[in-house]
Amino acid sequence: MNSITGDGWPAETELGSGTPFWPNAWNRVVIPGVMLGIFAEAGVLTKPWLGEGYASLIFVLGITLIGARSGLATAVICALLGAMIFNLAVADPLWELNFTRHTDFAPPAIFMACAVVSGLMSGRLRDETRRARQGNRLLESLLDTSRSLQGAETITAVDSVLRSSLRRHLRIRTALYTLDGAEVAPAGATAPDPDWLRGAAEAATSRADLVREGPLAGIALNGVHGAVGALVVDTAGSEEVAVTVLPALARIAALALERADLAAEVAEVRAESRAEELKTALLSSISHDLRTPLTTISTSAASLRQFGKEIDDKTAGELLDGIVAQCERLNRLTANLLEMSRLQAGDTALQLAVMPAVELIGKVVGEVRARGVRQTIAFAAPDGELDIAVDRALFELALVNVLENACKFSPARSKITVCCRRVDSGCAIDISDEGPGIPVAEQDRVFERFYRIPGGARGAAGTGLGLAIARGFVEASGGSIRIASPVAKGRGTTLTITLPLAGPNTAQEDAQ
Amino acid sequence: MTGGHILLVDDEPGIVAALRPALRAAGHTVTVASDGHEAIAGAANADPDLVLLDLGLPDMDGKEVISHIRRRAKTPIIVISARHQESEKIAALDLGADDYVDKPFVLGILLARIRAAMRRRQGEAEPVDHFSAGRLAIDFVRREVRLDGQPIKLSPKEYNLLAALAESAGQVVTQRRLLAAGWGRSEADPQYLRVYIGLLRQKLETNPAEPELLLTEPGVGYRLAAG
Repeated sequence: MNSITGDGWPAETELGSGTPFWPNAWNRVVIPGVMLGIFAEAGVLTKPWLGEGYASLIFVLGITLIGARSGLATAVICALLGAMIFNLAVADPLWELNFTRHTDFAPPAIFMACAVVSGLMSGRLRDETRRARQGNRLLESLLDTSRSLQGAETITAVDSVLRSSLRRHLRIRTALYTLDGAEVAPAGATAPDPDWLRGAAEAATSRADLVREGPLAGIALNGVHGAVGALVVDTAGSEEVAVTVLPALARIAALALERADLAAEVAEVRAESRAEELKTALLSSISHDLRTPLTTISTSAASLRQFGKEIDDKTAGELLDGIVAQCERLNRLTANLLEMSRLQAGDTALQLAVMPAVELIGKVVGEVRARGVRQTIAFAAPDGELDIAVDRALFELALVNVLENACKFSPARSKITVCCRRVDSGCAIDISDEGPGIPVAEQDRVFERFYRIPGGARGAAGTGLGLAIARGFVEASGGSIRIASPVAKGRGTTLTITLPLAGPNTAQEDAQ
Repeated sequence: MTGGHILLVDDEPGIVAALRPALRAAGHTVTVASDGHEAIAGAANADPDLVLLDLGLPDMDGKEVISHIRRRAKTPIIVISARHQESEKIAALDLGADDYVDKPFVLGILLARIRAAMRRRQGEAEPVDHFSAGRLAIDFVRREVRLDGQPIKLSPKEYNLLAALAESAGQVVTQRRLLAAGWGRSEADPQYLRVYIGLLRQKLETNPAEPELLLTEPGVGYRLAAG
């Protein structure tokens, strides 16, 4: 590379854009021409004072400068031209070419020697500079690639960084392959080209530094525990660049791949531990929620058995009612868990049917009232009956959850208002309470599974599943759920569920 | 036995509805408080013989209720908790609760704990000089222990531990209290305690592997079965 060619110009393996034609002509023709003109003129003009010998030195100076500036070929041409001009305009007899005396041959020979020496010297200097500059550029591109790779946390990112960075800096095409066991696979957006893949497989499995195959060069990416992949480079057009930087690139890429692997492992472990936490939370919340109804049932039953004779009929009836109510509660809890896992599993088989919204809501409100809540629940439907396409069981469950939640966080004897109204695209159900409200920062999180507002009113009650189920249901039904709080005087929460209205054909479509 | 006046503190209407008839049938009178403030006011005004306290209250932590009540009175407090964390129970006991039952509890056990706590309160009024339960008899004055009428030789530490358990017979005694009774400092290594309880079981239990007298409350302490 960069050997000195005949004209003193290095071979065009220059990185970056090729030199355009016009500046080239300018450098090679115009400037040397002008210089030759100036120095020839100076030689001719100074001859009367300096004499022929000294005037020839001015020519020598000019040709040396041209050689230094424009290279060997230009200098040689200029030397020949200069010799002609000298012979014509400076040497006696003037204005005729005369090579009869032996002294007539001295100027062309000296000019030529100057041109060759200065041209060669300048060519070598230029080569050195160019090589140094190119080395710098390679180093810079490697540095930049390595810096970009620092931020790449996935294998796909590593691939795209390598690809774009190397194309930008070195104009070479690269492809990254990962090694999984003995299998080499294209990483990220790498196209599965069979030639490249073969090169990658060979490079990854062979212990050789570099594997060549046609224009392709492959190199194994060696991590701490052996090969982690392979890097294949298309060396066409820039073979030496590619081969020079490849080992360094391979080391950087191997590091990046290992880091990406580690990051993936960390993420996996984190996800696992989160799932584990979730499971633990689920277990503890279920066991808590199971305990209260179980305690009630077992105490009531034990009272009836142990003190049956001392307990009057009315109290016994109440105890039995309590047992039934708590069994229902257990049933609801189980249903919640089942529905939650159904929603969680992404089961799309919702039993959609067109249902009268107001009637369903009225029924749910009645049920919750009958549970003996300590608040009054008002229900209004200003726009009359509205048809919605929903999974009835889920709809009721979601509504019960939201209502129970409102009751749970509201003071006794306060008012809870349920309103079912028509909005442009659907049916909006507002559930408003007069509780303490939900801080803005918590409003998104209340829908998360197992989330309970820290230090919330009831330290221990609730599983944190209710609103998560409500949201799961609403989203599965193509609706939305949102919270507004505080509603008035810094208190109160309004939760609005919006569900799409059922069109005339919705039922048939969705039933299929 | 005669019943007492019980302040039942629980915010779960279902549990109150189930417990009240049972407590009444067992001969107690019952006052109900559904949150911490009502509980503190009730304990101050009604002067109950015993407080049954759920730790998970809507307005405050049940432990706060314990410290409030303890500032004024020695009323026995039995904690009902759905929390199965030992640290919560220990904290409640350290604050002055006398005993605890876990939800879901067995009615019979709750009634037995109530009896034990009330008996102890009466016992405090008139200092007792002896204790007996089943095969075990302790003479506190002469520091003598008999099993089935036969004298049992105990080391001073063993005796102190047994006496501390007997003073609260039927009730849980925390490791801290037992360590203080046996070693004079509650921060001593609980490992000592396990060793000495083991020694006591060797001397007192028919089958030390299946203790019937010295019962372990895992993570909390020990309980001497009361008659």
